[in-house]
Amino acid sequence: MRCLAPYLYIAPVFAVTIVFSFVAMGISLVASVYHYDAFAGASEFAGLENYRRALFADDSTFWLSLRNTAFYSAMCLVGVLLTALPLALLCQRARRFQALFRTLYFLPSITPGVILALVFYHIFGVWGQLLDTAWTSLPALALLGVWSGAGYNMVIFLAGLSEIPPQFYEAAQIDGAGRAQQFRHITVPLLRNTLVFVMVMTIIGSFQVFTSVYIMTGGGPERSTEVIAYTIFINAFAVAGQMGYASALAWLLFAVVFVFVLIQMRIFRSRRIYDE
Amino acid sequence: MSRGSRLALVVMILGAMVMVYPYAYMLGSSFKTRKEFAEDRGSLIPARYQPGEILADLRGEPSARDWPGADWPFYQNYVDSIRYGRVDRFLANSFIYAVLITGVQLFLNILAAYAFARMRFPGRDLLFALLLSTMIVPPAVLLVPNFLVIRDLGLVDTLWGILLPSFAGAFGVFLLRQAFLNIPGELEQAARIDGCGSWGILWNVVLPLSKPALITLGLFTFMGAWNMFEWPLVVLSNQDYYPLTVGLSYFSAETSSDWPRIFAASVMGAAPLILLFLFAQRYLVGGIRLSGLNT
Amino acid sequence: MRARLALLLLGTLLLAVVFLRAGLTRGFIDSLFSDQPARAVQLRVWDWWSAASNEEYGRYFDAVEQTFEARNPDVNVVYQVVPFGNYVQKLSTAMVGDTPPDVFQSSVYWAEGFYHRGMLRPLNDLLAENERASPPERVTEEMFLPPAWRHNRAQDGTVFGVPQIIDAECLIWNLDILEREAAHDDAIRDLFVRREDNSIDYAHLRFDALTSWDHFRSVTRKLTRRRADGALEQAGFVINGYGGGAGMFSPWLSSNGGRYQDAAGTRATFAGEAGVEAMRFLARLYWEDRVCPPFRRQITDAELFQEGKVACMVAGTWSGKDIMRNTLGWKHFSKTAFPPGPLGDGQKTVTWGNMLVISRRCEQVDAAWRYVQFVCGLEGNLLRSRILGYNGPRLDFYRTEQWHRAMAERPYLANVKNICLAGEKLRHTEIIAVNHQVNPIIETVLLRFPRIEAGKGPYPSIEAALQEAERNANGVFRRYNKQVARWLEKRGEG
Repeated sequence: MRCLAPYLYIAPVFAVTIVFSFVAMGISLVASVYHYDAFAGASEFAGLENYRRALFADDSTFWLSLRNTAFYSAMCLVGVLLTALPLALLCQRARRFQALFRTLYFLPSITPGVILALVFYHIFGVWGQLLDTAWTSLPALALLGVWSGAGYNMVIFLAGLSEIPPQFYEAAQIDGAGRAQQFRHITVPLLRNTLVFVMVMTIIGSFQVFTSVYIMTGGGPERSTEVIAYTIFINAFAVAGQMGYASALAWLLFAVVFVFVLIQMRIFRSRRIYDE
Repeated sequence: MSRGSRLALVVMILGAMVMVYPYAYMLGSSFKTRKEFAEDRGSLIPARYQPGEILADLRGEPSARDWPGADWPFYQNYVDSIRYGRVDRFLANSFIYAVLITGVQLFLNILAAYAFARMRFPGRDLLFALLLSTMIVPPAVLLVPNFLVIRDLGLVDTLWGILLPSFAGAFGVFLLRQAFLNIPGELEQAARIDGCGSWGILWNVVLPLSKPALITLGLFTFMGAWNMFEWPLVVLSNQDYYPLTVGLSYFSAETSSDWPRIFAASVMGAAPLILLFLFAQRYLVGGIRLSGLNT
Repeated sequence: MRARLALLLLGTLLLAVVFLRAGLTRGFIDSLFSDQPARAVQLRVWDWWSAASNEEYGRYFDAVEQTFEARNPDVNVVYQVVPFGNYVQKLSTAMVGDTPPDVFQSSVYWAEGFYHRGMLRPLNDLLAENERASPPERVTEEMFLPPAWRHNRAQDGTVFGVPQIIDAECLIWNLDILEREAAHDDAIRDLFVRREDNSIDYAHLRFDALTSWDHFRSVTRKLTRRRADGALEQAGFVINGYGGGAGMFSPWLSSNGGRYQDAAGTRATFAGEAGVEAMRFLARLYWEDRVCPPFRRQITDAELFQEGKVACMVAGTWSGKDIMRNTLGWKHFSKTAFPPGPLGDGQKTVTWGNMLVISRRCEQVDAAWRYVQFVCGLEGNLLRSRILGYNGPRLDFYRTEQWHRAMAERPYLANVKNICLAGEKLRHTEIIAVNHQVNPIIETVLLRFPRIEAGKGPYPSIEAALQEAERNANGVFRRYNKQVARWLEKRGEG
């Protein structure tokens, strides 16, 4: 009986996790080749019709929402790099109050996204009506995304920075290197792992943005903030008989994310070999 | 303090003000009456408490203190959101779900992490890799598939329907396994010699020594469960089961929303986690460092 | 350490209070583990009318519950509120879930869809029996105004709902502003009702006060005031640029002789000449006549109107009581229908009658039908009139003392019956999906009208934009009707 025990230990987690990831994806793959209605039933085999419609039809919003999501992601990435890293550097300098700042900056990460969306809905109205025009809406949402993640990412960078031995900086100073040079030649290379980690997490996370769109803009104005998660939601739950189409969209999204994760793993692997 | 760090301090303080501003906005707006909010959406202080208005009122001039609702106590919106908006029920639901999800997840993750860390069995590494690979699928993609599974199980709009997918999670297993591996093997050897079986070792030796990791994971899970939105939005229709996040989104969907009341409910929804965070900062921040470095 | 422990205990104590207040003791635990209610018949009734948005709804439901339960001691009515915007999704989820409602109010937007999904119990047999009831309790077709009985039946004559209200889109006018203007403007003064002795009745506007679109344009121009620096002080009209979409556009379309969709729900028809003209008319009001405040997402038409900043807005006839409640009692406003456009004929609008339906998963049809009869009978109508200021869909309602008292108390109700009678059938097929396709295009047309007219916009013309919207809407209809055919086939009714 000894050899059975480990399997009993891991069985519950396995059961639940595998069911609600791989099995679920399998079911949705099957659903995506049907015209499927999850509520009143009555499905019909559709072959690749749903995929064809998503990718090629005139009235499909797939490419539009993919593009919007990609822009949003890119803006979040740039925003995070421009805020979290400098903040971490500054926070390190302001040594005495580090803990206090960490707390204050971390607040958004522990507040439900719904609440942040409701508050910023009005703040964006007061400060420049950012949600009213098509070319400011998506950047405004990205601003919210960056603001929300500033503290969290700052803490990660702080951790990464604290791993860099201070002797490197001392040695560089003795050699006459200025602050900028120290940053370029010591900080950035040694921070690479953390940088890549933050970048990947930011991109993967921002690709799934939903709450702020759902609460604040409903995809508008003029579809400028319609992101892929929102399109999936609308087609799955607000339209009759298109659960199969929504499943196809979900699989297409997964494909995009998967490719990206593969790329990231490649980068990491090559880094490891380099460091060894 | 050098000039450089003084400058850094100033910038950090400015940044902190930017971070705190929305919370101040939320709090201040939650004290406003409907008319005060409609008249001035940007101010942090309700009109009837502003010095300018109070002075005007004392001088006998028309002021914001003559507006309808100016005589209401500042906590009126909090009371109303409970009386008319069932916010207390939503808060209680959020709490129950968070506690249940945290408890079950911790339990399941402890078992599996211990097996992966300390037990030897055929296929161990393969199974671990398989488990971790489930993290590749992002939650947004899983929304519709999980709904289909729950529907096939007949659990739509039930308590189990909300909780079951939330019990899944490979990240906790990963984190705890890391923590368990860091415990010196000699302690377990000693316990084994004393006659403890695996179960005993787990509960008497390993767990007490990995408290920080456990608390960290528990806190993260609790916060994640408290903040969950898309899943309950999709799987619930019976209002008795709504967590606060879904309840809030409903208030704001009304055609003529009472925003100050919504903000009051928001404050009540954000406060518990903030309090929890203040209590347990150390573990949360430590946990982030742990996850950031070990990927 | 001690302090932390004390705080922890305090927190736990607070939570216990929250638990108790929320009634989370035995009742909730029971509902977790058992399906059987303690009392006789539990009737689950869902609606989007919410006490959170207007406390009068709370009083209305209390009154209905008390009266009904007193007369039917074996029934316990349990209400649940579901917001309008999520209704379809929530109802669909409930139907495959654990605790579906027995009776619910359905907007005409979704009723047909619910019926096609097989979620509604046909009522023809119950209505046949109901023929023999006394008139105040009869809820058959002849008891209702004709426009109320349009959306609740299928092509084959199956009736799946009984109307409990009748609504229409209308123009709501701020009479404070109009009265002020009427002091020095004959044309504005003419909009008001004249009594027999030729004096002006400043509490009522004539039902047909606006005679044409040009007349509307000139009136709103007169009502628009700008300050010296060009900022708008008072606007003649307000247009919702964000999400107003098809709902805002369709009454104007109707008044220009057009229709949004065909009756069977197979084709969209709004991109014809009438529709293009209506769209251009609205865009011009904003961009050329400049009678509207700037488009703002966070500020709704209703809010601007309630603050007294606009003279006229488009709203449903149901919104009178909300205006009164949000302004704490102001009722000096009036309603008219939409004036005829160049291609139109007579005062027009779009009308609908939201209905009560019984779900197919209802297991106590008898209790449910008793409830429906009560709410849709004369007594229910009178309750809604007394507490909510609603006009009812029943013919006998308009002969009651209560209605005449309501009109005296709330003068804005005077034209409501005629407005409802002047309405055509509101669009009703797959609304959410159609809106998802059409509303962004209408948004673009309104927001970028000048560039489109100059040929530099995202669409070469308004015609092109509306035609694309119509094509996409037709795509929705096509897919929807295919799914309907599958549902019918599955149920063996195809």
